[in-house]
Amino acid sequence: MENIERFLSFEIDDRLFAFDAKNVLEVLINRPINPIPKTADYIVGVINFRGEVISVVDTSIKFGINDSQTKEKRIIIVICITIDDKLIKLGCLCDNVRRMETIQYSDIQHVPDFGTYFNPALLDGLFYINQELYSIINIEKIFSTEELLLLKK
Amino acid sequence: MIEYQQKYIDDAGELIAKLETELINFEHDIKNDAIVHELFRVMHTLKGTSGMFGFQKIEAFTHILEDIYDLIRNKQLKINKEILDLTFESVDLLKLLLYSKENLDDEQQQKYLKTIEIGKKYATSEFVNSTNNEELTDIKKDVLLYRVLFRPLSNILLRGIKPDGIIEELSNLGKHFKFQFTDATIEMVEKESFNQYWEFFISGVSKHNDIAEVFMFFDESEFEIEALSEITEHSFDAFLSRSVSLKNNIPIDDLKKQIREILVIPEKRLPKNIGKAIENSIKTVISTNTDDSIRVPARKLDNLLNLISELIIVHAQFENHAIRFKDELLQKTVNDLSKISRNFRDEILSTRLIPIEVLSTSMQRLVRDLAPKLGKEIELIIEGAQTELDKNIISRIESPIMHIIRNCIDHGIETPDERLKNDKQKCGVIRFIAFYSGASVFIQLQDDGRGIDKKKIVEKAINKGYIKYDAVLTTQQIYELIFMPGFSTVAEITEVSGRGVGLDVVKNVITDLHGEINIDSEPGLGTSFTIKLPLTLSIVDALLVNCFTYKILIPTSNILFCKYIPSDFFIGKDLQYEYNKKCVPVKRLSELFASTTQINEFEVLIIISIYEKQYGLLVDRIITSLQAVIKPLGRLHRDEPYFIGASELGDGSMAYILDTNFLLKTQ
Repeated sequence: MENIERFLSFEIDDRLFAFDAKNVLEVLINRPINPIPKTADYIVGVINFRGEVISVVDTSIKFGINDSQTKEKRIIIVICITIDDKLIKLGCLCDNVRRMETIQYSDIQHVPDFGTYFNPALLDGLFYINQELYSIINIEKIFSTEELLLLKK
Repeated sequence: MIEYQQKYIDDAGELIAKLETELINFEHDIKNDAIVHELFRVMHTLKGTSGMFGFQKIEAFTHILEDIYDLIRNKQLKINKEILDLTFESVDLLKLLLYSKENLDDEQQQKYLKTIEIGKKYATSEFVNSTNNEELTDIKKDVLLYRVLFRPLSNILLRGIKPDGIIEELSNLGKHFKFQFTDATIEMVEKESFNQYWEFFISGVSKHNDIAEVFMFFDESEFEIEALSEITEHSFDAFLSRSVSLKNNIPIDDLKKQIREILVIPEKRLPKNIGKAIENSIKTVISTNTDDSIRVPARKLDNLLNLISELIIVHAQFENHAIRFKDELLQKTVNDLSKISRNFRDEILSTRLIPIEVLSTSMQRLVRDLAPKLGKEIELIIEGAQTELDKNIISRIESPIMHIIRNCIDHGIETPDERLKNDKQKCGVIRFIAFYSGASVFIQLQDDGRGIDKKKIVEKAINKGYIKYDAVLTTQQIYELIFMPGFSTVAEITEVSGRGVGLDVVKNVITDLHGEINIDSEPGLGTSFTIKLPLTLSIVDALLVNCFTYKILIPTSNILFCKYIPSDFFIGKDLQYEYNKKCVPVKRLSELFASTTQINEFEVLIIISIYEKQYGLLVDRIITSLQAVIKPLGRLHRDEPYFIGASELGDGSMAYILDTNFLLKTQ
């Protein structure tokens, strides 16, 4: 049993991604987002989540996916990550949430050093389900301090 | 192990703090054996745990202290000023040892060894039972009520003493209340021996000795004098007025209980409009003065607070919805729910509050250590110690308060000679008073010293170039001058109050906490500093304004005034406004936040004042003023310092709380 991992799969701009299920707190649909002035371009705004104010991130911009056909995203995946020993909750906008996937550990493939459209350093691995490729996002890395600094440039 | 060590350091820190508090109590009431026992107990616990966690120096050190207090406890050693001083020094050393994890530098090491040596002298029999040490009788005199038991031996009349005279003398000492008892037996009456005894409660006596003098011709077994230190004159008055209903011959314990009961009634300063939370928490403090508490991580309390604010917002939405059904029962349930959830929130808010009493030890300590150094006699009176404030505020307000007290000791209170010359009591008084008013807590620090010399301040300010020589200032403006950076009113610089660095820092800390500080002074009579603070950092009084599509909250404490301005008022790009003959820069918030150039027909100009500087903000319109619960913005926003937090409004939308200080910096 221990070599099974669970992921939440979702779509951003017709591409498939997965978050480690243990980081996911909740999926919110049609929650109004409060825009906040003077902030980084990838932050759409803030929402009230269980009494806490949390930021909502536009994943297309944050993950560096060139989004040509901007649709209005209505779904927020609330995740909880640890950065610098601090628990941080974040909302990630996405187009569609698919389902919980249970994957054999052995089915997870290494990310090739080149050839992917996404920065390999920010992925934990890849897996196929029904010939569709899912990229597992390393959430902690994406929101780590260095990443934040990089984005500021 | 590291984890356990941290726990030990926390616990030991608490024990040492307790030691210090008890020590200060002890100094005020050295006859109180209960305190000696408590001191001994605390030392013993500290010694035990320190050894367990490998803090050998602390263990060895407390061992000596414990020996000394064991001797005192068993009446083999009499307490004197040297021992008390030594113990106070030891407390400092213990703190040092604990927080440096026993790594002392050379100088500290010297001091440690020296203190140990002195301590050993006391602990061994050298001083035991010696009569050379003058007994400390009255180091402190703030005890206002004494219980005196006068029980003359049966041969009193034969000795030629009239008990009536003694009773009269006692009665003349101050306000009093007396009980007369008799334990006469037939046998005694037959022998015509004396069989009456009295119990007195006297207030207004400053010294233990004053009472003892009355009993000059009596054997020690014939009288008992006990200081009831917790009872103030004020509450005693209340006691006297109620005493009519009391009967003689009540057991002493019951009587004392009654006095203590009276004590709590008039001391509470509670305005009606303050949340039930505080009232409740005060009740709890009074009823459970013991260690009946649990240590909870602050994070858990924050979570609770978050959840309950959430509940209140959801409830507001529910309430809006429920009105449509026009169902009486539903309406009633909604109302009940509303009451409960609000109480619930207040209750949770109050868990973060701690009584300001925690500062009293360090304040007492400061006065005790500093006043003699400067050749002054000063008494610190603390009132309203049970007033509660957010823990964060208390820890940040500590050093400003210490600074003001230091100022009072150094600059405010005169030397005993000077005081006597001016017909004042030899001993100066500093009063620390804390009380609630509305959603604020007021802290007053008053001294009865020489007051502020306005002329001197103005001269100094002119010399330093803060004001022009012909400036006309109001009294308040003159006092404000001493908050200027680098201002010092004393001609020579003392090591204590330094170079006037500080009062400006004091003001900044208080401003940062959304508080205010004011000075009032009467030459020759004294000075009083009044600090106004919000109850908690998580609630702020703010003005809700509209700006583009955003809702912005501006803390009311920073707002000087608001004014409607027609849109053509500001022509060109130079946004400026004349306020009090000064040119104040103005910023249009919508330009700043949304880079739009669309301007409404009318705008509202809000003049902000912070750190004595002013600037104006243009917003679209003012919506309302409210008390906002501040929630921190996420970590991703920490580099965008326009806002100190967000607050959810009743309709579920979010408003952002402007950091008025930051905008000032960007001017």
